[in-house]
Amino acid sequence: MEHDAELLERYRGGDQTACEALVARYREPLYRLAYRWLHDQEEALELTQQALVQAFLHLDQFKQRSSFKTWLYQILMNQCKNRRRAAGRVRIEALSEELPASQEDGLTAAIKGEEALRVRRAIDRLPDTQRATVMLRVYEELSYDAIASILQCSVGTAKANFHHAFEKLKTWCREESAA
Amino acid sequence: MNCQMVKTLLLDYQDTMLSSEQRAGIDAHLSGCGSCRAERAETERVMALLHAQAVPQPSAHRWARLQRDILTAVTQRAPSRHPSRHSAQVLLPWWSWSAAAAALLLWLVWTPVTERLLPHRSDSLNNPADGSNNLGPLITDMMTTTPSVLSGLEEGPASSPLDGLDQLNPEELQHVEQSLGDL
Repeated sequence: MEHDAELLERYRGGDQTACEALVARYREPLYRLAYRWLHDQEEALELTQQALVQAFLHLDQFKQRSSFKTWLYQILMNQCKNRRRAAGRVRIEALSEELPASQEDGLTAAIKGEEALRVRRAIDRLPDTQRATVMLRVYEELSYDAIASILQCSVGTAKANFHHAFEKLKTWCREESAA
Repeated sequence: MNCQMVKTLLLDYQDTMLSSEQRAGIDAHLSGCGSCRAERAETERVMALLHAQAVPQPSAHRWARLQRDILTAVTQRAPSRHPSRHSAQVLLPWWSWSAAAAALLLWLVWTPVTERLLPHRSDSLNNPADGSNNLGPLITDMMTTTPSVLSGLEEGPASSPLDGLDQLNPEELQHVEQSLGDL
């Protein structure tokens, strides 16, 4: 598979197929992250599109101090935060719409679904930076270096944010389970 | 390794971020510490719940539309991203066109004078027989060799420094030629 840097070089030279390849490579991870932030499929797709278009339109601002992937996540996270601030709230869709088909019996699936909803609500209660850190670390499995680059903080701050956020999640989940 | 260190490292226990020494240290501690084992179980449970958050997958048609829309937007809104595909026009600085226009104007004003100073031109320009100059062939020559100056001539031929030479008599014309020759 061709490296991002090679594709970017080809795109800068006028090769549109390189742009197509990069879009195809990153549209899905970006969408997943946007969806987890917004819980709305169309909004997530819209922000994914915006992030990729902005990236290519402002490619001259990409100084290659980080990877292209990290830069894309950075653009997307900023858009997600702005969108969330604009919306003022987070929508919770019907959970049944997004749970994968399961072979388990109805009761087990319902219990798991209830727990998943609780965790989602707990994530949504986190401050934006901690929430972003959890998503990038847990779902995208990015290193603390990459997370620090995306969220424009130090590596130590990224680690501390993740640990504080996770402690909160554990506490809230425990409290809700007890309730 | 103490309990605080283990609890801090447990979050990264699942992936490859920890060194083999760190993992061995955690394992050794967990084997003798019930509190940290419970902590580990709780961490794994919450992690599993986090990973259970499903994301609906858009249809293939929706992905295709997204891909097309992105490429269209990038292509239409960033035409100057590929300098090699465009003319040099976009690469020239803004002042270059002013400089070019000024140079053309100077050339239009001064070329007839310079041409007149040349011996083979002075004969043809000075025609005392009919009392007029012969600027026609000179201008025709300029038009033929550099068609781009045509518009310049159409806009301002009256400002040519050779205007009015046909008003001079042969003696005055000779005097002017001598003056120019001294220069």
